[in-house]
Amino acid sequence: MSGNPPENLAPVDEVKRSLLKKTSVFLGALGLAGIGVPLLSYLSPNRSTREAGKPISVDVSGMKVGEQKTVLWRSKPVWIIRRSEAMLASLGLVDGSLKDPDSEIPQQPGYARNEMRSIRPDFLVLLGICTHLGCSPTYRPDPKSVDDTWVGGFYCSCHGSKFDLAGRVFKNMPAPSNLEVPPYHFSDENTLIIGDGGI
Amino acid sequence: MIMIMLSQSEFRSVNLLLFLMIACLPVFSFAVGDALVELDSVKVDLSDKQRILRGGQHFQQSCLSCHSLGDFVNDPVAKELGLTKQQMPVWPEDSWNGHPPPDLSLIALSMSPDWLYTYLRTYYVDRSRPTGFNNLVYPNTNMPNPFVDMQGRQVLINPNYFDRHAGHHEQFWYRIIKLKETGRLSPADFDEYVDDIVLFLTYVSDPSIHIRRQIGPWVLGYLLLFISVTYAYFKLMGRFYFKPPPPHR
Amino acid sequence: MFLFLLASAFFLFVILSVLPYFRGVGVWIDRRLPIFSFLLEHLTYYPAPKNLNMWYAFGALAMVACVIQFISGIWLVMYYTPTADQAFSSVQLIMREVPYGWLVRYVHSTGVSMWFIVVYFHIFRGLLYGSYKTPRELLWMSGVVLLFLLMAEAYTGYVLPWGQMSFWASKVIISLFSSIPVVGNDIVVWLQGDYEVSGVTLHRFFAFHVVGFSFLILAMIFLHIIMLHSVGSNNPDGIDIMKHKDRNGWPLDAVPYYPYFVMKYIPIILFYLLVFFIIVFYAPTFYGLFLEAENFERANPLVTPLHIKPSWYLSPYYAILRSIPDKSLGALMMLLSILLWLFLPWLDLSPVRSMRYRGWMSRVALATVVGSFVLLGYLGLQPAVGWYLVMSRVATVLYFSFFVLIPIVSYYDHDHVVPERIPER
Ligand code: HEM
Ligand code: FES
Repeated sequence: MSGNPPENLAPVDEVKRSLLKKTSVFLGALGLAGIGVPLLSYLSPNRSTREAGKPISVDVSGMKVGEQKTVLWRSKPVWIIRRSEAMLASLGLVDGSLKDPDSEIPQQPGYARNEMRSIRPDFLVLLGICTHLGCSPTYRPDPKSVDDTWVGGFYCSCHGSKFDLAGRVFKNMPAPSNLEVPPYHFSDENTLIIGDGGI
Repeated sequence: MIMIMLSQSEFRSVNLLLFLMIACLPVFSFAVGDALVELDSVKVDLSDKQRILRGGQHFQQSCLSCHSLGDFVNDPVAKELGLTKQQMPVWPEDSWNGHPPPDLSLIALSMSPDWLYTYLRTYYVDRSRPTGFNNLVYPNTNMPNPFVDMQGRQVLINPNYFDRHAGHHEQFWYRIIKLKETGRLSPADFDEYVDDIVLFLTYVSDPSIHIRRQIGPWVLGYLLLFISVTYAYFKLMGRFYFKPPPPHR
Repeated sequence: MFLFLLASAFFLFVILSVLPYFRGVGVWIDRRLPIFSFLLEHLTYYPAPKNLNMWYAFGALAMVACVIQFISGIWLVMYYTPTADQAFSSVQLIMREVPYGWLVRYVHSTGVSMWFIVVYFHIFRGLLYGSYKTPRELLWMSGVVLLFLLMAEAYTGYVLPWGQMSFWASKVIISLFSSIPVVGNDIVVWLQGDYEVSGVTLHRFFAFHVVGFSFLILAMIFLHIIMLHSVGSNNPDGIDIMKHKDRNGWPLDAVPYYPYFVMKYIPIILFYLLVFFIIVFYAPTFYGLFLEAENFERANPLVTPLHIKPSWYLSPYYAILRSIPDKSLGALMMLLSILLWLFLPWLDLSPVRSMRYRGWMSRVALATVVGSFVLLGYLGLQPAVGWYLVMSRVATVLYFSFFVLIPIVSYYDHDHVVPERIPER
């Protein structure tokens, strides 16, 4: 006999065949998805990292008026600034030239959505990361230190974004939104908890 | 599948060889540790969560003063027990004459549950040792007997053992030492106390065991199903059902 | 979770099902980059002898094992730290803290042993059906080189967890080089990069494991397949299928590899995965054979473990080394025990390939070498004392006698007549 294929073609139940084929393909896809789950989960922060990302507490009792303190939370710089009366007064002066003076873009927890963008007017807590491309802006509290109209705020040297002393961005800046306020609360007069908004 | 493989292979000798190789596999496994006495076997039932926790409490009570569980601190069970890094001792390299108590995070894997279970229960009085105790499973151990008040004191009743052991391997520890002064716990309660600790340490050595048992059946079930479907598909097709090749280039 | 799985499976299913409608795109690409016609030629229309049996699945399984090692390996490197004080704890970090880290690590550690099992069966198939004979000599030799590379890969990987066995095994193997006359000791220091096995050694082993040997293995597998496809597969009857072709040049005794053999081997590959995952989920240390108890203890240069034993897949060679009471000769014989296989195509003088048509002498010779290899594997894991030592000497002699006997045996053996065409069964 010859190995000529078509002669040996046996009749096959085509319905059954197509069903088995589709089931196989589906099961194969299920398997791929199943392999994906552990491989992708593996990439998310591990337990030690998550442990290290827990809320931190900061003692602010020794801070002088006008002083800036930078702490690391989840490897990111968080600024704590004790604002003076004069600094708070400067906030009202710039409203007109701000992009989002009323903090409508949700860049802060609800309890910090106010004029001062803070729980207590004197203490400002901000994530020190520019909303443009992630540089860390500098704290420039002195009026006229950046340009003639400067009333004090934050200046990002990377592409020149300017923010006021509540972290609100000025109009026509590369940065699209106000600086972010991380969740925080005061557990007592002098202790700030960063990373947890309290109850 | 193996059967199919066997029936398709040509020689009885090949079948035999395969069979022998597979049959040999268990023979390859061997006991760990180098105990001179026969080890008691302990049943570790890792599904008993309450018991693991109880073992953890016993561990905190009897072992944590000297031994750390450094790799275990972030585990949920450690959290439940309130085990923290701060509670764990840190020994300088040269303390304890250069043999500081080791970390026990992996002890149930590097030794074995049976070894631990027997080791912890075979201390006996030996005045020549600095701690006043020696051990049958781990002769001249540096670890002081942690259980004197619970277990009581065991003494050597068969000193000849040490002269004769070269030839005999199957000595049982209870023919060599005997409880002389009872402690706070009855022998049965004491065994259970140690058993709990061993169970706990077995869990500590590889906490993935629970999730492994949880996922295992699903994965295996899936594979079985997939095997049957693809095998049925293959069987439905004849060798020549599939499209013949186009003219060969 | 379950819903997520189903949803993504369905998504993939849909993508796979609509793929055939994009044939035009495929043709467009293929004109510029002929990957699809390459696959067609080497997977679909590869003329496979119609009588290939289960033994022929082991080559495909070896490729699957390779893929598993590469994927799990890349994932492990994301957390593994190749320094003396961090290596051990970084493995524990993976096992305990990283999501599914235990799975990835157990897959990788089980995968080595499974790869070796598969490759040993693969080699046995070659011996059984005479796949090393002309015209497949180079193919066979590339296989021996692959075995060598695989052993180097496994050994360098074994050192990485930096447990007691990692440390002492690396020390013992590196010390073998000191048996080289004159320059031996300098070579040892050169290999270690230190006066003793240390973190420096660990770091270079890491480099060889993840990029050195692994890439050589990939390249070698590629060559292996190229060689296979230029001479074509042998088969259980050892009959040359290229002698009888139809008008179109298609061998009469061949069927296209896809879908017939692909569909035949897919359930086998899945069965392999089933065994694989039974081990991963229920016996990841495999009774101390896949992960040794001693290696759960951090490396300590001051304390040698009581029993130094090699991984099971290297233990036959280790048994040969120990059975010879001379350091240099032992190391040499250990090397020869693998290198001699390179010459097998010229040592076997019989014109018949498959054992199906070979006489009893050749069969006995094959059984001897396989039996003594398995025995050596067992003995390599036992202490070298008393009867164990005697037996390993006997097994060593039997093992090497194969290479002496096979030319004689294959010359004088009464082989059967090999049919022209593959017989129908
Ligand atoms: C990394 C390890 C290896 C991989 C991935 C691999 C892969 C393959 C594949 C896919 C095939 C074709 C399918 C088959 O015939 O089974 C094959 C054939 C072959 N391999 Fe390997 N192989 C490996 C190691 C080896 C070793 C160690 C040897 C011998 C010492 C070897 C010798 C051969 C021979 C002689 C053939 C042709 C068999 C025949 O046509 O009868 N291979 N290999
Ligand atoms: S990153 Fe701050 S302005 Fe671009």
